[in-house]
Amino acid sequence: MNSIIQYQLYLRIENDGVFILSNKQIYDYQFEYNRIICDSQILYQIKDIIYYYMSVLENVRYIKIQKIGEGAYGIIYKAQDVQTQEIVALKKFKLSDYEGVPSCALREISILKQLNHPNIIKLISQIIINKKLHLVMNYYDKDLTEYLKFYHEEFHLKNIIYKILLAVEFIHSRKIIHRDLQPNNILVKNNEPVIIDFGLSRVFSPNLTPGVTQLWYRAPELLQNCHSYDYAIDMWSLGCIILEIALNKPLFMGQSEIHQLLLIKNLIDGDEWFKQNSQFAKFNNLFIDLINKLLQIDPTKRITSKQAIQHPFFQDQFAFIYNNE
Amino acid sequence: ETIKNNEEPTPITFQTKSSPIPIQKEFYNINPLYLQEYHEKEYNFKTRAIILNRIQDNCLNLNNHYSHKAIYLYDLFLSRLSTKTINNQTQLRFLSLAMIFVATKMNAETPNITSLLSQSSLNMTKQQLIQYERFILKVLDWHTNPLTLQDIIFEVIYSFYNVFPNQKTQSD
Repeated sequence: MNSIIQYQLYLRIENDGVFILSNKQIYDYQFEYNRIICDSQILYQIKDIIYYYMSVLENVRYIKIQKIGEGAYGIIYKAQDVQTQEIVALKKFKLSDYEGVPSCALREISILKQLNHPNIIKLISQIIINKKLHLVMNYYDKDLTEYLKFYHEEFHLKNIIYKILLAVEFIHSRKIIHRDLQPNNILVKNNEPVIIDFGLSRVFSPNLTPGVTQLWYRAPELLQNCHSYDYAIDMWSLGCIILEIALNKPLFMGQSEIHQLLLIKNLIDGDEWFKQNSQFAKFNNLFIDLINKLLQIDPTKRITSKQAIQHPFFQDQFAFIYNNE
Repeated sequence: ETIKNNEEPTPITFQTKSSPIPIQKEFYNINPLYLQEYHEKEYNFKTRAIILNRIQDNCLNLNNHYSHKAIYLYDLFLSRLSTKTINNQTQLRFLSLAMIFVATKMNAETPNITSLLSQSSLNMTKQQLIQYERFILKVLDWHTNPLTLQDIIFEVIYSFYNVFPNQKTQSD
């Protein structure tokens, strides 16, 4: 109570649900029904006031802990759910007056609502407050790039490869193309991968934009500016990711589209390209066969996700990435 | 605890589990008799046909190929709406325009709002369109990605041309 007198605050409720508590500084409180998002420092300062005015802290749902990422679409925060003590990730989009909900947010939400799979990120809820859209998702602290910096048992690696393929098969069976598969969009927790970031995903259609996927994982038909492609572009990205898991470094690191295409053409030359290259000599034959089928330049010859999960490499329990000798 | 488990490698069985039945059906199921839930004077097959015609025309004007999705979402929206009363026929026209807006956003680049509004002979403002969009998303609970028959046909045609590339040059 003292603090209220001390701050000499007054409280105003605006029509779209924003509390402004002002003294010398203005604090913005964003809420919808019983959810409030606010910064942890500010919360500490004026906790008493919130207790007083809203009588309960249960109206505060998520407390931001720190910023963990930033992209063209918005900012990602690590936050804590007050009710369940769970750590979650908040992805924030700005809603503009000219375009309404951004298309990447719309696609991501509607697609994630359809995909319920253990290896695909779960959308907990979406909140619109104060012209900002927040997606609440499960939090994972490691992505595949960071995971590969440490040594891991081969059966874990094989499990990760298989689980990624299962998730992609699940996505494809629902007629969705992910279009942005890369190690940064695969998170790992307890040796189980989780695919995230469906902002570029969409349903198959005859006319698609070729400028998708991160350059290093972009399929050759996209680099050649082709406007009609299909699920095969995801399979190419997967081929690159799987080889990256085995080699522990990205396969093609092009600086431009032409450079990238040149690197691909240099490595994949003829049907027996993997035999000429010494860095593939230590790999298991079945593994090489899988890679060869994924990294086909012609998209119609590339295997589909359904065929990939039935590949003999996964049927044989003792086949690992490297030869055992 | 999890680290301890990892020390003793348990044999991992690699089996496929995913089912071929799409989950889509639960959310995107339209009650085929939803029209009967409305008062016949307010909304009937005839008004629906007029609105669908408008959606087709608007999409044609904008060279937009996603009218099928807009129509699906329009029907889905009306079947999901809890209060089945329509006070004003212009509401339906506003709704149809907002549906085109949402469907295009899902499938192509964000459409230009000004050209979308100007080519329709409606007195709709940008704010109204965005309000309608919010309302649609609320009613549909953000399920704006329906799979229509057209999508399957696109895929069949695509794979057909992959197998018979000669046919494509002939049809062009």
